[in-house]
Amino acid sequence: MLIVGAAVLAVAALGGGAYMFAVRKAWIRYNQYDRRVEGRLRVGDVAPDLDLALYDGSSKHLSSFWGDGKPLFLVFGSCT
Amino acid sequence: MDLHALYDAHKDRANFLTVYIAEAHPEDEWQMDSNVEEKIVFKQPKLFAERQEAVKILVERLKYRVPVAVDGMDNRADAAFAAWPERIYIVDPAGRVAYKGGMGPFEFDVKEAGERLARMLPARRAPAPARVGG
Repeated sequence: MLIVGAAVLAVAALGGGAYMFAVRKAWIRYNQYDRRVEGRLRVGDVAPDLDLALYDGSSKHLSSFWGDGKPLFLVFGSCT
Repeated sequence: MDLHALYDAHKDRANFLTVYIAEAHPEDEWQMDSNVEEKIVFKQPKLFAERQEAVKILVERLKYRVPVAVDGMDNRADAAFAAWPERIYIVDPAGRVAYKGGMGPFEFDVKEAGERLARMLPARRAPAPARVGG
């Protein structure tokens, strides 16, 4: 009985761990709003250049942030 | 390490930019209890002006100090960088991706990205020793 219980617990733990790993990798989606994707961009690729509106109302090409000899630390996110 | 600490530590030797993209947990989609508790509750912006208003919340209410840009309503920055819901990249001075962070929220790692950035930066020049005597 004890062995069966331990086996059930082990299977449940493994299953839970596998589920969370798949969620973290976005192989399994939480719901219809979960639209995480790994994307094709890789280290060493040329970074996409985009025209973006800045908070102060001006607009700039993204490339203007790495054209001065400094690297660009680029963060994407939202309020929530 | 949080983003502000990283920004303050390296803003003289690296450029920093945050791109505001589509909300991760607006009230009309996938709202989180934590956002309700923090009273950060609004609908997914449908117009660019609404995104600009959301950025205003980020900058003025949440006191976010890193320079901010706003993704277009076509979500082109999100699409190009697979950025949603949050992600960090470092682009080297030649315009190549030097670091690609993991998908947020689980793999959004400011510490890891900060360490990668620090390795890319030139060492700071030590201050000249003070002359004593003469």
